[in-house]
Amino acid sequence: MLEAVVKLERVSKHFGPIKAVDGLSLEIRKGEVFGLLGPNGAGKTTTVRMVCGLLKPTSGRILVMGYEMPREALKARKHIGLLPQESDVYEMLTGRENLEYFARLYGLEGEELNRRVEEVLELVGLSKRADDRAGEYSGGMKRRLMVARAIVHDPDIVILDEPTMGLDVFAVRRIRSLIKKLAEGGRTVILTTNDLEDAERTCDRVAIRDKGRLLALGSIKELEERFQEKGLEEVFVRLVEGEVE
Amino acid sequence: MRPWAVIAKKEVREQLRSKRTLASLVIVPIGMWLLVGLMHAFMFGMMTPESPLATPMDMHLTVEDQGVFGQIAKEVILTVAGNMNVIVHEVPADEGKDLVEKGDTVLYVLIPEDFTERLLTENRSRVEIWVDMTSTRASAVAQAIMVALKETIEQRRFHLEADQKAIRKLPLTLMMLSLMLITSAIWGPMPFITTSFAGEREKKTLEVLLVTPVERRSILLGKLLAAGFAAAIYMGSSMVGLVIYNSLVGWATAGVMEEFTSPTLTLEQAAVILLAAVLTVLLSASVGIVISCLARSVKDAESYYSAIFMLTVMPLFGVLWMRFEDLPLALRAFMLAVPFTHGILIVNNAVIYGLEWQNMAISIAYMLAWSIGALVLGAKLFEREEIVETRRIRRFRKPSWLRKLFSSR
Repeated sequence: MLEAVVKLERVSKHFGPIKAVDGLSLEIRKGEVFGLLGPNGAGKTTTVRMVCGLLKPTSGRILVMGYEMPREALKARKHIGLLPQESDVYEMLTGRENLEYFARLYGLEGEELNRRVEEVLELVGLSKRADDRAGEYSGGMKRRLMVARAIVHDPDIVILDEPTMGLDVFAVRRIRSLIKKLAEGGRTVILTTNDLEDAERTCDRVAIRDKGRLLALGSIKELEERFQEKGLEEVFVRLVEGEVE
Repeated sequence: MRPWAVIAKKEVREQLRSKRTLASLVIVPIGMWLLVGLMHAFMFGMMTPESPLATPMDMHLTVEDQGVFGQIAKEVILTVAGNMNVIVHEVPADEGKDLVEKGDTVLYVLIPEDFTERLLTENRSRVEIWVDMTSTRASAVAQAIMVALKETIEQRRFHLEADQKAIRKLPLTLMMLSLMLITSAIWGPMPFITTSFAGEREKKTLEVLLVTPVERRSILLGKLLAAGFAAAIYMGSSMVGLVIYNSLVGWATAGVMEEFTSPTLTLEQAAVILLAAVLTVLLSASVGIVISCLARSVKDAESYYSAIFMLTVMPLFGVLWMRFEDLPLALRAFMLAVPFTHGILIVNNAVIYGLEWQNMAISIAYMLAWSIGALVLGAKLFEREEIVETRRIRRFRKPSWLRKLFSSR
């Protein structure tokens, strides 16, 4: 059994009468690409925010690298890199300065900082434009810079919330390729997405959720077999539309 | 419905549903004009004898002349003073001059020993008047006394001269300096603070920042220091602007108007002014943090900030030309409760009224207390989940009439 780097035990989060997350239990293993799938309002972003310690669960327990969230969030966050949904970059800073800023906040200094910034710039393919202002980047380049920002401190867990949303086909392909590269480096990648093709192409296991509840959990192959459907999209539609009990 | 009407209706509906609209379109103008109106009502009221707002004022009088015209002049002064709600204290000349020297009176009139004799022998005489030019009220009373005395004496075909001296001059440039400096210090951090919290939140970069292993109080401190830097630049530019203004007006008035001569500050005064500016920046930035944490967008934050600025700073313009002590107690209490007023009071103490350390210490402590309170509140707000989560738990329901007013139908 592989080590669980993120563990959720009967986690719920309520906003007044709205149950954004309802009794969610799951484990995310070291080195896997884990997909959190669901339609809008499924509670994906709320789950991510709880995992990062930004929101406190109404009930239940969350452990990240063995640290309880949000009580030990400062310790756990050294191991987390986040690309939030609809995030942006500091447009008045260059790509390199954006990365250096976050690297410093994660405690990187001197030679190590420079080396790491160069590495991630190379990884996301922005080395040549590193000294241009981020405000001059295209949407796809900004998104890649955000991915670089999420991994500049070499975290064990990378959380990508809707990383391909609103990007053109070329940018989407680059991001998918990046996700694979991250996983090859031994990191755990948590991917929340509406785009089932993203999940199909990159995820080792997925959790399908709707209205805060977990509907199914497993590898895509396991889910196809269990629900006797071909392709993730068919499984997803049947689950979310309530055709499968 | 025509397209332009559809668009207009949608725009109005959006505006009516925004709390910002209420603040910037309704409360600010009404509140600002109310406060400025109050200031001017008191200011002009104090110059008008019939005004119910003319607060009691003390003045000092010495009548050395025992002759008939000395006594007539005294009667005239007492009548004018009575009409203008002024309490006259008769003092010997030595005591009167001592009060003037110490700045413990705002108006002192001396009718000299030879007043009647000179009128009878030379057909002309003079009175000596010392006025605190920073007191609008004292200036108005002095003016009224002079007019009444001249009328009375000149009716008898004599000529009267007034030897008017200033207990304190009205240092226009210095008063402008204090106001400019403090308003700059209040306004300076605004663009930075609103974009640094509400802006980061709006662009969703705050979420990434909060996921770093950095304590939130460190983030707050970093942003606070940067706001101070922005404010320092703003203040510096304002001071350059003041020098330009001063030079322009000084040139135009050919150096005749003393009020516009360049201020010369001692090192001690400069240090106090700098302290007042720093305290004001700290206060403004702290209040800005609270606003920025509560606001949902940069626009909202700017509106709230502007509302606070207008409602707290505009009244200060009202007291630009008058002594704070001349205001009625209730208005003074209100203004003293506003922490930004104390920045002006500290600077005015330093450059106009002499360094009154006890008063300044109270003002400094008050501003610090507000700043610390706002910072603690800001830090608490910054720790809340709402800083990243826009969904809010509704703890109360709007009353039905309010729901109807803002309903979509």
